[in-house]
Amino acid sequence: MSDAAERWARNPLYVLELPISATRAEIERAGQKWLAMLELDLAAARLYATPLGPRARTPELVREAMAELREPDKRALHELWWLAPEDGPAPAPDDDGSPPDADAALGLDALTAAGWRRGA
Amino acid sequence: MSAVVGLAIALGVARLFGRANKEESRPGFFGLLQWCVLLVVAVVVLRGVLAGRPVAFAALPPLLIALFPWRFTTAVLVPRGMVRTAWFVVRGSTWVWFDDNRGGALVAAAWACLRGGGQPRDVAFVERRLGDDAAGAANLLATGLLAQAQGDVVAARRGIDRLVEFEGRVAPAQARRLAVQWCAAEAASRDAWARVAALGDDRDADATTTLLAAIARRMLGRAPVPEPSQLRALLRRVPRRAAFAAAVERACVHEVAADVVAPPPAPPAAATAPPLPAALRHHAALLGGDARGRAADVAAIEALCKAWDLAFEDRATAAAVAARRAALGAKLDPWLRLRETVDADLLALVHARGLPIGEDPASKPDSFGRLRRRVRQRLLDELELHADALHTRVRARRALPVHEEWREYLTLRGAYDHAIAMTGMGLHRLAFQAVHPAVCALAVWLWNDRKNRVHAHQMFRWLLREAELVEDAEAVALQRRNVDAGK
Repeated sequence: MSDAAERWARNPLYVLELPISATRAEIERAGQKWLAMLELDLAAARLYATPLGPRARTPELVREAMAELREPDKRALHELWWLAPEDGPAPAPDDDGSPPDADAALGLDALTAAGWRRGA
Repeated sequence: MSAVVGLAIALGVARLFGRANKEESRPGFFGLLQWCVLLVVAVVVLRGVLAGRPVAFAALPPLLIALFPWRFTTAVLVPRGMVRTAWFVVRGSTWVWFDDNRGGALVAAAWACLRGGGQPRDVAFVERRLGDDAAGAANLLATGLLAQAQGDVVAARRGIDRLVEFEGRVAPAQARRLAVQWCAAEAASRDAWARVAALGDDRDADATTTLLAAIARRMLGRAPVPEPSQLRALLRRVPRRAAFAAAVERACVHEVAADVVAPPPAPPAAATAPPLPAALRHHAALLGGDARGRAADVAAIEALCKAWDLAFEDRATAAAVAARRAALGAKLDPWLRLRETVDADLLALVHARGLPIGEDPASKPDSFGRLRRRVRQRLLDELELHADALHTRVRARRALPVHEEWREYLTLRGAYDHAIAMTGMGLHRLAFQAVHPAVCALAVWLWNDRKNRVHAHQMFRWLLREAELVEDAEAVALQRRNVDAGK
């Protein structure tokens, strides 16, 4: 996973499922709620949504998220990186599912055919 | 019994003659002696066969192996991964490898090693024989094959590709012929047809390479496009034709399309969303792309940079961020930190994927221009670091086995080519100035002190070509003298 993807996956606002406007008290309440639910191993607490798809939530991640949001400098940056999870990434212009240069693909394992690789 | 002893002595003497052969392009005196011995043995054995003597029939296989060691090795020993036997048999060959049957034996052993799955003891066997300073082109091919046997196809490609680039006379020619075939097969396996087509024009292209190049021209629709009948005719000349038959048939039915000029990319749609969320969505699409299999290319990066420029220039967003910073009591400027993080993300993406980002001759102040300058600086820094490390080692006379020296040279050259390919010719002169002292010092050391002229000569040739490209008159004069010394 790239640094950017990691940053989104671990954004505390996603981990705690909080809006940008959440107050300090709301952060503490949300953190305690998720910790309690994880301790009871409730299915609803296991995953959280991010713009790159769902991620697994752990007690360590929840505690780390609470600590991050307590620091104003870090919180300000996390807020800037926040993107509504349902928005998701913008579709890539050429994202039609076809492999690149499909016309030129022959599927020839020439290294094996010429004896330069052990056959399957 | 005496016949068996006589045969063994004759084959042993023939092998000794083979090992003593000294001729680069012909079998030479000892090679002819070897064939005289083998022909006498052949006549005796043939007479025995005609007389119906069992011992003569038993003598036929070893005689045929002694007569055609390379053919027997590639047909029987290599596919079975018989490393030591392959090495032993080719070591006495005088025809295919001429005087470098030592290198040929190494190639045979490395090839058998990779066909045998790269067993550690086989790899060790080949490696023990690689580190001789007198090694030549065959040694380089063996090094590449050994890298492939160990699962590092990229290193194998880098090494064998450079052997293909060897200029002038290369002894033994068989090493280069095999290297060209390997490169064509490897490129065809990646569907890199343009590279395969180019290899078809090589002076050492054999039947397999020629067939692959014809397939490539058909796939690309590049003139002269071969007809199906021509492809099938070329297939009949290839030794392992059954393995290529299906691919040839697929190529025959491939629709040959005329070259189509790609339409220019459509201009980005007018932004309807607020600029910051739009830039974030683009950023997530590209940099979260590893998980989603989306491709990042230079046009997409440029579009992302434009989206970020719009976001950073948006005064309303900047004011909102400043207000939020004040409300939170943050000491650091989040807007500035966001810009730094975006720059770092884009630099990491371009670097990781090796995207040809190009140059920024106009020194534009926008995100894309900034990204190009940072990529250029980083590539140059890495190249200088690499070249300095090599130069320091050469000055300290810390010698490596010659195949390791060659590998280090190739790595530096790979970084040099990569840096130029990613940015452009503007970096060429600076990059040459960074690598020239180190590579020249290495080549001079190899030539003067270590008497390894094959590798040094190729390094001088490369330096000369690059010096001419960047029009460095002093370097051209120096390298021309060095190259002339090797002719």
